Amino acid sequence: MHISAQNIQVTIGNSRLLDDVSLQVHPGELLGLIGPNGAGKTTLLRVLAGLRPPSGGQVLYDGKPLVRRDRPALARRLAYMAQGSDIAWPLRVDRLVALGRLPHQALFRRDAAEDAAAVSRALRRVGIEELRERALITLSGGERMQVLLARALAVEAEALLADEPVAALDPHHQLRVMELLSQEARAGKTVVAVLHDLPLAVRFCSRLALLHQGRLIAVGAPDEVLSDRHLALAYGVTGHRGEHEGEPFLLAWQRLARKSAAAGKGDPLPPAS
Amino acid sequence: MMALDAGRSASRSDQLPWLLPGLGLLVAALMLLSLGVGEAPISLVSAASSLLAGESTLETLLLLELRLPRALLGALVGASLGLSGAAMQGFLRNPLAEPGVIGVSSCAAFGAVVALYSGLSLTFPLALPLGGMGGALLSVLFLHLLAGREATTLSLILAGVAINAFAAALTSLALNLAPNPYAALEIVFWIMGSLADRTMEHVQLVAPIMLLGGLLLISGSRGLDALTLGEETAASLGIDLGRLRLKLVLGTAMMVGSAVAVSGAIGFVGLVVPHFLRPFVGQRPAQLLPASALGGAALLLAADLLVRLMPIGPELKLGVVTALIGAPCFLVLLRRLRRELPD
Repeated sequence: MHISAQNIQVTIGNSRLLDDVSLQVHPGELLGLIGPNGAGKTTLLRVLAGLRPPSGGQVLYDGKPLVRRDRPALARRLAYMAQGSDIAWPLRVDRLVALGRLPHQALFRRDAAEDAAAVSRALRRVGIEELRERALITLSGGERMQVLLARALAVEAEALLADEPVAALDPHHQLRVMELLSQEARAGKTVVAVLHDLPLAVRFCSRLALLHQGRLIAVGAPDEVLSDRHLALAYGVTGHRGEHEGEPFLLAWQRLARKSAAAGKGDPLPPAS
Repeated sequence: MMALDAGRSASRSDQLPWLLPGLGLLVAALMLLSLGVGEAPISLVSAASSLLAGESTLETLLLLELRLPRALLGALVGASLGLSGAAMQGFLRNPLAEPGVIGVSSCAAFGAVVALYSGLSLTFPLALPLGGMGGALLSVLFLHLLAGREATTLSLILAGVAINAFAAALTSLALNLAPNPYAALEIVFWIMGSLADRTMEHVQLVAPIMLLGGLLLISGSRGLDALTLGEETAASLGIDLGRLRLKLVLGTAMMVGSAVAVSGAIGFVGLVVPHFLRPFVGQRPAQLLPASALGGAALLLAADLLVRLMPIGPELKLGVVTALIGAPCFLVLLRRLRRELPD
């Protein structure tokens, strides 16, 4: 599914969360949404998922705007994984993952066999089949994130939008989830992930979109987007670049003096490197 | 290892296949008991055979005019409180929510108190339940004005708090201004909740509205399941939160408003029953709805039997008994909750 955001504005009161953001996401790509804290990444992801109507601009799905009556159909085509693991009731893992099948069900219409198969596939893809019958309370924070990822995969949608899917994971599982997301993309899905981890973003994403203070300041190949100038502008850091096993890597190396560590809003922009 | 063991035991008790049939049988048995128990002993068998023969005896009269409405209302009111309690807990994603949280019960109580206070209920007996239902309707209008259709869950709760406080104050005002102690006592007794001396007219008045409310709540099942993952994820699963909220508020108002209108304020059923049954349905909000309806009916029928069987001078009020049993149960549940809920 092509997702096209056109001139998106989001304002709350006097603060502008997103300012004239235009972005295209294509099937078969893993797009990393990056930027410092408070840059508007989650807001943009929610707008892309159709969860938040923008104050200005519009989002097109395969060229069509979202109307209220198409909302249930979009839920089958686009899966969204929210930030954090906010789960109200300690359901068993497989039942939680099965919630991803809700868009495919109606009060008296469901294909139980197909739903069960989709749940098994999702658990297998994330590699948490052994958690299937565990109660949620017995899981760690990282395991819960994996369960929620499996929940999103169980929708078996054309597009997957995930907000910080690797935030709570150890290095092994971070790599596993990033590999999974790029596999999804290679299988023809449209994948967008909000990421804070620049090395992972550079290594796994086909394209990056860098947000800073509500504006999209760069979109494109990872090495172009994370140039020294953009690193300084958006994050206020220098980058350490290198190559390992023929693949480039990037580490945020040093804080620049004129930018506060908290990515202060309203700071004068630092000069280009 | 410990986590694994905990996981296994949790999966074993994930869901009881016989829960709904078992609760159904329990409700049926309690209803039969309820028909057989009372001040005047009657034989159900002989009353039933006279009924079938088309004879009208004192026994059949007792059965049809007194016992039957009481048993039916016990089941209906209990089911309403249990079902709407489960729906509100699921909707607010909070195990401590109860059906009165949106202000419906206190408004219904106030509506009934107006009927009592004005003396309308003396000249026209159904004025009391009608007043209660009018109060419930008013609370929904207030909620709509205060919180609106596109409101957030938080503003709904806050509006409910305000409505609850205001309705309680008005009820106290009525007590305060009561012309004589007897009138005040009548109001207080009514508020305590009872199923005594209700007629089939009461049943006919509230049953259709309760059933409709129940259907509205059940139709929100998928939405309640989806809300397990939070409002944002529920919306991404195609749930129209505004519509879900409207359904659940209306359904709860119809069920609880009618329940309070015919029986007064009966606390703790809507809070404790869903809470108690949740582990037996694998914690799933949608599965909890029918189970809580049956569980609520069983609990209220049992409490009403207890009230009638207790050898105490004036009959204890039903609301007093449910609160007396409910509050300690609730404390035990609270202790369990601390262990079972995810952080």
